[in-house]
Amino acid sequence: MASCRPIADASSMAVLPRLASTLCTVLLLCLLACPGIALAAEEEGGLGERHSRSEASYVTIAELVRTNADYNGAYVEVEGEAVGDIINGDDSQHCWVNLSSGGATIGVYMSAGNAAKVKNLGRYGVEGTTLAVYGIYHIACNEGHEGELDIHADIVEIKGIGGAVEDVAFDRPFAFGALGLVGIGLVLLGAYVYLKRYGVEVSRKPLKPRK
Amino acid sequence: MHLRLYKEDFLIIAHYLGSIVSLLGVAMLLPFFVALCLQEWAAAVNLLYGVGAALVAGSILRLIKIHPGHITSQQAIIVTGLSWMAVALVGAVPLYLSGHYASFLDATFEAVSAFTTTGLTLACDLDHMALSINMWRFLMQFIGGQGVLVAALALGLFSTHGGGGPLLYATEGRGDYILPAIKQTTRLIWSISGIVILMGTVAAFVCMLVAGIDPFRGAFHSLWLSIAAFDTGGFAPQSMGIIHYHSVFLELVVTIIGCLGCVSFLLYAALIKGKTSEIFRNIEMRTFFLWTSATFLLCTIALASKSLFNPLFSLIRRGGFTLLSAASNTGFSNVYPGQIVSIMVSGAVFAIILAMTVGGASGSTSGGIKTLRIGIIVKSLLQNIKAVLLPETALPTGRYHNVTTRVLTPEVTSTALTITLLYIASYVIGAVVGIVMGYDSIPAMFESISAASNTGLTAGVTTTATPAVLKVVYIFQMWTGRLEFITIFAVIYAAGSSLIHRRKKAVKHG
Repeated sequence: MASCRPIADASSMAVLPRLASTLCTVLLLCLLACPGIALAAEEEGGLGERHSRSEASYVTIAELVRTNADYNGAYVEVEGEAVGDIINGDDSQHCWVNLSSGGATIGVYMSAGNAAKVKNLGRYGVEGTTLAVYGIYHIACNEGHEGELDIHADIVEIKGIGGAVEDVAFDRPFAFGALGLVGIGLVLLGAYVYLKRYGVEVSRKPLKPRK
Repeated sequence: MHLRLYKEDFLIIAHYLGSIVSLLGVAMLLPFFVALCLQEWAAAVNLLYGVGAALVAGSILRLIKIHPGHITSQQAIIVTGLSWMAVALVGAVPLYLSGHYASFLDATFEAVSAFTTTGLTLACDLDHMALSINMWRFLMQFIGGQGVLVAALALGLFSTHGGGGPLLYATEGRGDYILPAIKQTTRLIWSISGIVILMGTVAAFVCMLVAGIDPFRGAFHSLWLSIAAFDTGGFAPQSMGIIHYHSVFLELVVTIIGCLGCVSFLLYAALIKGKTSEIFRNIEMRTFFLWTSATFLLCTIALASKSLFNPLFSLIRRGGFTLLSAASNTGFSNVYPGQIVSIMVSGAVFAIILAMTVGGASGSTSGGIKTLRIGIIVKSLLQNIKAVLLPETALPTGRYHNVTTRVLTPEVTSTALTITLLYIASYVIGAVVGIVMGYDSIPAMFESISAASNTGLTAGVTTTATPAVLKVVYIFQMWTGRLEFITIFAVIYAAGSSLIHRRKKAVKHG
């Protein structure tokens, strides 16, 4: 059963199956001369209808989440960073990957095999894997997703692996500034507590009478 | 009665504001420790700046008047009005420093939205926000949901300040005492909230595990969503909001918790005492049920007229969830803003707007006009019709049941009508400003009502690109809406009359 986890299983392969796999790859390369067959091989693990990449219109995610009726049901290409979590789909063979780009995020429904290509998920301190997704865009998906605005992925390509990013916002002088501010605050608080207890008599002066 | 403020009044107000701001600094220590535990060093420094700012500002304000003595009702109103803005300004410090906000105005907008439990957000790149900063966003919603002054009172901050506690409690829009003592009342509010939020967290956590989210993140997210749902805040830790989880069960959980959040704490106390029949007798529950059913029906019929959400379940999941979220003023949405304005039929949008307008019960964490006022207005209307039909000598007396049976006096009706009119005026003014700024009328109206009723649903108007003037208008709407106008107007009136008096005095002497 395919897994929805971002890190693919590193199963050990025996020598013979590996040899067979290499032969298959060579055969596959030979078949690349025939575009139709090659495309079918690329689309392994995709959803729904098979399309060629050239049919896809490149659209930004921001444009799609603004709900562009012109693209409803169209074969589109989007590129974005996988963020947050990989969510289990309707069955164990499918997952949701949320793609983010240009301040907009969209849910992409894809096969577990394609989801396994995601090595990193965008979070604090982590840059997620950047994917190029070719698939069908739905303004309100009625194919089992109860009206969700989504893309059903057909082909998924890795554009960037992503990984841990340095905590660039942290710098030492800035941190000392924070400690200094807290120190000033504590001194002022101490002064208040001291003056309240010992410094000033309770004001018995009546409030200024209202005119 | 003179509402003009004297120097002594300013000093006392400053002291109380200082106490509340200092308390906020203590609250900020929680996300700070989370940052340390998770080794989010940059976020820890940002939060430390927030703690420092709260301590410095709070201590200076308290030093202005070391022994404030008794607080008057006039001062209490002004403390309440200003404290919500003061905590938002200090709460915005770590948000702004986190780098997720384009300007300090945006960070302040976020903090006001959090404290007033509105849920509109201007955060950039929320998906990469540190867990500790997110924790601060939700903690602000929690504090705001219970009430900033209720939080201070529950922690015993004002217990030694003579009659300050009850006055501050009353001016925060909570007229009814649940228990005889103020401290017990505030603690009961916190206990009820704690229990419901805990239940919600457990249920949401199970949904997260089923969805395949790792337990560590799932635990944080489920706690936050539960807080946001019960406090009818509507913030989400991911940029996609509740859609991020693609889980119908999670949507169900937050809907239930959100609806529990718009129940009055007074009713909760009655239920704890075993008065279960209150659910059916209570005017607020009846009005909420009728109003929500009517708008739900309207929304469903409108959506069914267009074959957009085709199977009935799709229609109920998208339309029903959004409508219930609007009715409870929670503000979660499982449709994109673009879907609301461009593909939903106008009838459904109208139903959502109507649901947002009223909101939940008074004395709950919900915003809007409140079901109690609508119930009172309707009862009063029926009473007037009855009075016309009855003989001249007859004097019909109206009653309504809100835990206890109360007489429907002209004063009660007048107050309900006044506040309702103020909400409507706020909705219209916000919409007009939006239209003047170049937005279409429906999104402008939608966003204005969402801000003033502290709902937080968006039709796409609230973004970082929104004009600063409109952001300020929404901040004002959220602030006034949460405190139900009168408190804020009292602050403005008092400040205005004091200023005029000073100017007149200066002219006279100079």
